[in-house]
Amino acid sequence: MIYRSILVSLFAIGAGYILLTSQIMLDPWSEMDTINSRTLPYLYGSGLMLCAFSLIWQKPKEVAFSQRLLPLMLVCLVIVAFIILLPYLGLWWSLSVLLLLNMLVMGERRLHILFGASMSVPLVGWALVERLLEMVIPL
Amino acid sequence: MLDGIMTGIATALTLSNLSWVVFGCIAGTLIGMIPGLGPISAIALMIPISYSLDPAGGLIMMAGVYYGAVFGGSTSAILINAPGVASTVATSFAGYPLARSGKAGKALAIAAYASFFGGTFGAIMLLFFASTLALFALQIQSPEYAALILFAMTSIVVFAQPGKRVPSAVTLLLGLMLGTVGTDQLGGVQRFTFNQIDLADGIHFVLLVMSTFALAEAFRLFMTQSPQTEQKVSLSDLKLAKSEVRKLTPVAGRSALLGFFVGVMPGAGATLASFFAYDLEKQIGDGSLEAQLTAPEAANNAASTGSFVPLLSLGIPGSGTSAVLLGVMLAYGLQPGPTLIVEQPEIFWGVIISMYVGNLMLLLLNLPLIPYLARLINLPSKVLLPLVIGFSLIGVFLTTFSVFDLGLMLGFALAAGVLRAYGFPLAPMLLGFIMSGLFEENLRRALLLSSGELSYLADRPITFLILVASLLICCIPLWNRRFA
Repeated sequence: MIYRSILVSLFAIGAGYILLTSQIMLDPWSEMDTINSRTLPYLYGSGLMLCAFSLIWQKPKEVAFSQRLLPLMLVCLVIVAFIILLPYLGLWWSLSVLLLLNMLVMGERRLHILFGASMSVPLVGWALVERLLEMVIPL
Repeated sequence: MLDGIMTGIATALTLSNLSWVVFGCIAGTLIGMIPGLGPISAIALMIPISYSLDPAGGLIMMAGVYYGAVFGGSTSAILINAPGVASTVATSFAGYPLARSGKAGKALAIAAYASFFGGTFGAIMLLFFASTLALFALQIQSPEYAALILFAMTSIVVFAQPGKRVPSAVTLLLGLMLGTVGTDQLGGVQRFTFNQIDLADGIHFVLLVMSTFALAEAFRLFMTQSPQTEQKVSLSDLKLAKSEVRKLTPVAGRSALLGFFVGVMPGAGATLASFFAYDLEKQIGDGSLEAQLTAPEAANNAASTGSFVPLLSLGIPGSGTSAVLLGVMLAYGLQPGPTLIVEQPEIFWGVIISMYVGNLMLLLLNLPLIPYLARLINLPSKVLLPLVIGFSLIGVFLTTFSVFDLGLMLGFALAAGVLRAYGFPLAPMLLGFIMSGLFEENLRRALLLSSGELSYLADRPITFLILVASLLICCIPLWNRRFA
């Protein structure tokens, strides 16, 4: 079922891509070109639709979803939190939060590891990137 | 020429220049290991330091930085499946599985030896054939590039495992489609950007590679909870057995030769070379991971050296990195090209000899570090995986400085995870993405030159040969099926 949904999605992506390609604005000179900004995208989109369609007859691979789908969603949520926090806390503090929360989600409970890793890695990153290499992070 | 070589040796082996090579190698390796920072970033970051040196010393240090960054990129590709630059993607295909199977030290050692071999081979070729090869490079123009890229894309689908050809074509097409996002370089129009300013420059390669390889792999490892293999690496493990040396030397030799010639062509570079070498090894090699790791590593280092041919002999930068180096040379008041060898032989030959010295230094400096680097994978997965996730996100952010790209990255990683779980290989997607812009640009440029006549492609002998070869390899599966 999921495999079929993937194929349908791929087919839809191909169709949507072709639709968007047809909306690319071209000047009159480019329109006359043998290959213009639309030509290859048309080919790619049609190719994808064709390939997705041809896979319908292929036997789908059996995939057993593990029990860890919920923790994986938590990991994704932590990443989303990192992205949201980035403009407010800055890169290194957000990284520290990301590492700490992800280690907790993944089952690490030793305090010295939790705090050691989540503080030392951003500290080394800061020293290397901002101090040694003098990169400016525009946040 | 012998006089030139002696001048080069005298310039490269002064104590101060040797120290700068060592410094360049260390700095390059450290910067290259940071996901998202590749050779171009490494050289760009070192420009302020180089200005405080004399031209020969500055350029010699830059050569060390270049090689160091290429090797550093391979380290993160092998250990955590996070190739920070395009030229090390092919390294991760065999390097990462080898590291996961408990041979991280060996994988890093093979990468170091292969890099040394490729770099040395390239330096020797450069020494003897720089001027001749530069003339050959001028024959390779847009039609030939377009045909070569078509050949690379065809072979990645044709040579996929049986039953994986259509899924490979699907991911290749997805990569090609993602590569069209952004401003069309020739037409100047925006394509598939949805009026998002963040997409106007297209999707960054580092974003795609970090999401589909590093982040998706971290998710997969977390889901499967695959048991970790203990890595015990000592310095004696870094020695290859005689049988291995016998097996891997021809692989390194042919890959370095291929890589060097691809690198000589302006615009082709180390990425195309490493993919070609990996593909070739998969077809004609013994199928071992060691050989499949040796091939792209030898090729990308030889190609990196090869890209200096058009730079030093003609003043044409053959890759992004050599374009930055051209800028450094111009800032020193040097004019790379045919006159450089006559007017400033100490710089021309000094840089070439220092490439060899840089390779040797890189090997001597990095081999003792390998046992320590390999221990990184021994970290428990509940610590290692958050670190991989953190490094991937930081790598992308330090490259694009865009919060939007981080969201895009998470979406790509989840989609890539699902595709991979259902048997769609992801490597063709990266190849398609890398080649998309190059293919379109060269094909359209070739047609502009010929006033839109497609027959122009067949009128050029090299292009015609490559196109015929692409057609012929399409027949291989039919041939195999008939005679199976």
